[in-house]
Amino acid sequence: MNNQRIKNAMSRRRVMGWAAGGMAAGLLPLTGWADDEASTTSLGSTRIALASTGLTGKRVVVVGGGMAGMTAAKYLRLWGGSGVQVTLVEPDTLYTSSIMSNLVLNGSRTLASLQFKRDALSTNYGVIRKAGSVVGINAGAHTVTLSDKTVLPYDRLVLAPGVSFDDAYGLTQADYDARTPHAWRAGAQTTLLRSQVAAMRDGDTFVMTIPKAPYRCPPGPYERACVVADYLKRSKGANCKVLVLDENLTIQAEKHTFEVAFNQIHAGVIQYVPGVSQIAIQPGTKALSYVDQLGGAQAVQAQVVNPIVPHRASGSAPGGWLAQAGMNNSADGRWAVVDGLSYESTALPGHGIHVIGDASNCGLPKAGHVANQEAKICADAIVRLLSNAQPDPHPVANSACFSPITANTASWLTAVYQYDAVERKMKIASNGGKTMVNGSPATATEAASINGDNFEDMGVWFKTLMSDTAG
Amino acid sequence: MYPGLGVLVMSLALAACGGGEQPGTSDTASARETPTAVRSSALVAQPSNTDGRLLASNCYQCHGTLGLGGFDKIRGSDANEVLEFLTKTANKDIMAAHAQGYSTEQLKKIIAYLQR
Repeated sequence: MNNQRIKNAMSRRRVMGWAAGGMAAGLLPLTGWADDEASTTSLGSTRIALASTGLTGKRVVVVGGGMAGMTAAKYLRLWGGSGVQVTLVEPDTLYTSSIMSNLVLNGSRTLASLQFKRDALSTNYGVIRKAGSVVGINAGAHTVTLSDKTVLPYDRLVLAPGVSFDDAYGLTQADYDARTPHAWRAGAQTTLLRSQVAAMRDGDTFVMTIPKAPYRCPPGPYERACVVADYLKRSKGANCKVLVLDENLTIQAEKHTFEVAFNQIHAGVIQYVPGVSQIAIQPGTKALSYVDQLGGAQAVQAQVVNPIVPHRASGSAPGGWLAQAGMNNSADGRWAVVDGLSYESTALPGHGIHVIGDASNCGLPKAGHVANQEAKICADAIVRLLSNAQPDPHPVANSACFSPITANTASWLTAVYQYDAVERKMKIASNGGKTMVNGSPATATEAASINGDNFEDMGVWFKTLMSDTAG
Repeated sequence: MYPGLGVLVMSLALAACGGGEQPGTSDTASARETPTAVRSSALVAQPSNTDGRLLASNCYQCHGTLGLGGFDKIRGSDANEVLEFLTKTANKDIMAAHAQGYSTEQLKKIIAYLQR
């Protein structure tokens, strides 16, 4: 146990050295760590050579520079080799990580510390980066048109556009930006929500709403409720309330952990109300109404309202570029359904268009760590397809999520997914890779305890995940 | 935060990314650019036999690309350690929960790739 902690501490130093080599602001300098680096491989000075595949003259366009898009661009080069030209299209100069952004809300992290450049994708792997966003796809001509009217031809197209947020509950995009932030994509809304929380006083009420699944980051809303409750208790007084209005009937992830968090750790502060509907929010007065699980009309007066509103694949709303291409083919028109082996759109089979990350409907949860793995599976499939081979018939994916429960303790959730060739989808596996355990489907594993070691590990996980994705 | 290393990486980019050649560096160039504390860039080759590569990539979110760091370096002889987690309690150790999601055959393929 002792050795493992020391090992972890040394690994942390290695990871920090690696992170400084490839990433943006907020990281510690290498001076002072040099002695620790002497006997280990510092990733900051290690480059991985591209594979020799013999592929030449291939072009892949990746749309979206989030967790899925960045990982796809990197691994397409790493595994495809120098003859696979990869262009990454993304409008924002920096990537702002939503993972860990709840720690901005309690003041323990800055937004700047969560912002990453994509430069390493170019300098380490030769990814071509193009500032812009997609306005149209010509599937027949194999081209994608950008906001600046550039037309990019492709042999394979990878769409990782992320999500857009509905106008919901009587609110508009302007309300999210200025009055009732969802902050479900980290950025200016995170900063706004932090300032609203910081201005709360003892006795004030913070109301969060959770949309019907599927939504990105299943444990995320519950984690946020915990972080905010913990902050309010420590900084404001014992009388603040955190009201969680969940459109779902039950806690969507880490049920046991969050029951402990709500009923014990943050008892008296967090009130969890499942099965709500007809949420209506007044953005100016912060008054809300909703219908509870029993059909009763309820009204609440909040000081801070954090509506995590329903979302959908970017471009999937009627008239949007994804919808116009016909690729929002989930039953509700919100997501792009994809093949479980290649992530090709099932709306346009054989057209070489793949969709990964939160925008896809692929049987995996929507989360950054999972998106990273989807991107690798997709990149591998594309390299094979470009070589006239078939995708790997047995892909495996994994999810891992650390959730802060207080300012210094955390839980975790993990699952490994195996491909079921009969049902043609990914399923959770445990007990030696089995999808059925004692006659029931395998389930994800949540941490047995909420503790400080998990919180420390969370930092290592985050840094490493970002280095594998963007470094 | 580490300006010398940034310059090193940029010089590699100029050398390597123009005509589709592999990124690389010469010791002379890196010695010129590298500040005192950090040695020249080592170019790590991937195994040319790609069997198990996609499986092993599941490890990289926590152990770094190619298993070179993160929580614990797993490239090389250390890869075998994953088998120790098969007998641990899954919900007490995230690595145990993770390892137990694979079949033994898959773990062997991962180990073989990381040791290649």
